[in-house]
Amino acid sequence: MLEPLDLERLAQVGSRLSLDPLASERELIQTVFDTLQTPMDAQIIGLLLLEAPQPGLYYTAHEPPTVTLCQQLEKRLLSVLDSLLTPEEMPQSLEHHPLPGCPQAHKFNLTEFIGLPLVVEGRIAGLLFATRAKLQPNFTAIDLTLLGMVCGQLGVTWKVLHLNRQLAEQNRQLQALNSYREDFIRNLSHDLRTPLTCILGYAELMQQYGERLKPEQNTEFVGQIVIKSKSLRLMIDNLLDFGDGQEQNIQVETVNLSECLRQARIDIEPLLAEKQQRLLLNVPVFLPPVLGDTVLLVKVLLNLLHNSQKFSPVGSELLLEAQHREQWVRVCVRDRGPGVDPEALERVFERFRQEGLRPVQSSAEGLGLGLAVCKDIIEAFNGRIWAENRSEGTAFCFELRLAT
Amino acid sequence: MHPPDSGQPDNLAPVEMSIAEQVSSQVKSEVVDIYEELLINIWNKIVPTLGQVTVSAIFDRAIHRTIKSHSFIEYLKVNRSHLDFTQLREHLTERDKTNIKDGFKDLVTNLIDILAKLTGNILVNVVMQEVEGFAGDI
Repeated sequence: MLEPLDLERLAQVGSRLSLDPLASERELIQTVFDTLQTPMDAQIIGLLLLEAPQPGLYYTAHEPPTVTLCQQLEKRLLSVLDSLLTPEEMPQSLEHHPLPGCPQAHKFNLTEFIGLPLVVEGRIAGLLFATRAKLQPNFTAIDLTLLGMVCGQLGVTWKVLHLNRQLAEQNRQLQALNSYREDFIRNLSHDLRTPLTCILGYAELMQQYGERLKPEQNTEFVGQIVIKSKSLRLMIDNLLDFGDGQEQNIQVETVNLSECLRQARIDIEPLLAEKQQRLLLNVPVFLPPVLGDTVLLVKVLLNLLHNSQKFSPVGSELLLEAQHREQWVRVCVRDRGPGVDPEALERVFERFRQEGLRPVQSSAEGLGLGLAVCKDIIEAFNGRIWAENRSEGTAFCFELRLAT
Repeated sequence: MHPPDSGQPDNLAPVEMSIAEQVSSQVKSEVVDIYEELLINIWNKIVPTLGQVTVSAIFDRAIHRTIKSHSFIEYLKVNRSHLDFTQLREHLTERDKTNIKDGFKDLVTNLIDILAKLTGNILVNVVMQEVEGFAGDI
């Protein structure tokens, strides 16, 4: 029977569960058990939890039940659950989590049992229950009402706890994203300014000295302006593509891959010359047409070549390979750079690298978006792209489906 | 010309069929009316003790269990505050009266079974009193 004091405690349940800062589900369960103990005068108060963070059987009892009694309790609970859940929803095993509490020193038996489903957002997340021993009075409708009220409040607070946790996680992600954005803008300013400063420098030299420059100096300065302008254009293109993301409307058509390779090779030559690098070709005379887009495939090749060029030492050789394999054509750009950390190989194409949330290769010249753009393009053509470490350097490869 | 075993003209046959269908439909509707009243009474009796969320969950599970043997029960919808028979009535024509009765009987049985497992005799006695009050009708 509920006493006035119990009713007062019950009145406090709502505010305690809703307003107290509860850090974990376990703390919440303990609060519910503490609240129910005195008014329920129960031998055991428990919660069979079906979902995360830690499914299992939580209960307070005067003394730890024996193995046999635990089995009896489990059997009883599973019998109740069997009427509430589908076979797929039934728990496979029940891990026991005894909690402190329940001063009633009645010998454990399952004479009296009441339980109610813990409903969270319409789904059954657990079963809140209480038991009484043989010598105790039977449960009444008032006990059931008390259990029902606490169960209802527990369902609401459970949801609030999860929402609070989601909110905290979203806040953390937003802060990380904000930090990334700041880094990105800082890198962006630096990376765009570097080639622009060179262009401006050579242009000013030509403006200042004009006809006094020797022809070979003129040629060199113009060459440098062209190289840096191309590098700048590639960065800006990548930045625009990055902004477009998946929304860009890519048309798939039959493409002459040999022509793409030829164009990319011509475009990359000035950048290679800057570091006295050479591009070696291992491409069959005849390559079958593939499914793609000429402009975008040249962009992919240029990005891969530029990436390898940046990380290869002065005077080194780059290798551009192409192979026809059944229904695919494989293209690889191989460099003599320092290689990629094996664990990071799968992440080099990610837009947002998890390591410190910094742009890919932000330390080198370039925005670090080139590989992410390549992945977007190749996957839009139903191809695949990957990186692999070779005995010396790294190979960046992609495969495209034949047009036939 | 009249059929040999009928004293009525041919053009009355469709009318008779229509009347028979309407009578059958009315009978089925009455069965649903009776069980609607019973289930709503049970709902109203146990809500003050268990609360709407718990009662909704229990009815939902009882319906889920009954669907296995009587698929038309899936049209009985449970929401937070009440039982909704609208869709079930719309699908009455697809069932015969006996099938409907059996489905509702199974539903009440499953409901009592779940309540017994959860609350012992506390609420089962209340529900049984309601069912006995309808014994003549169901």
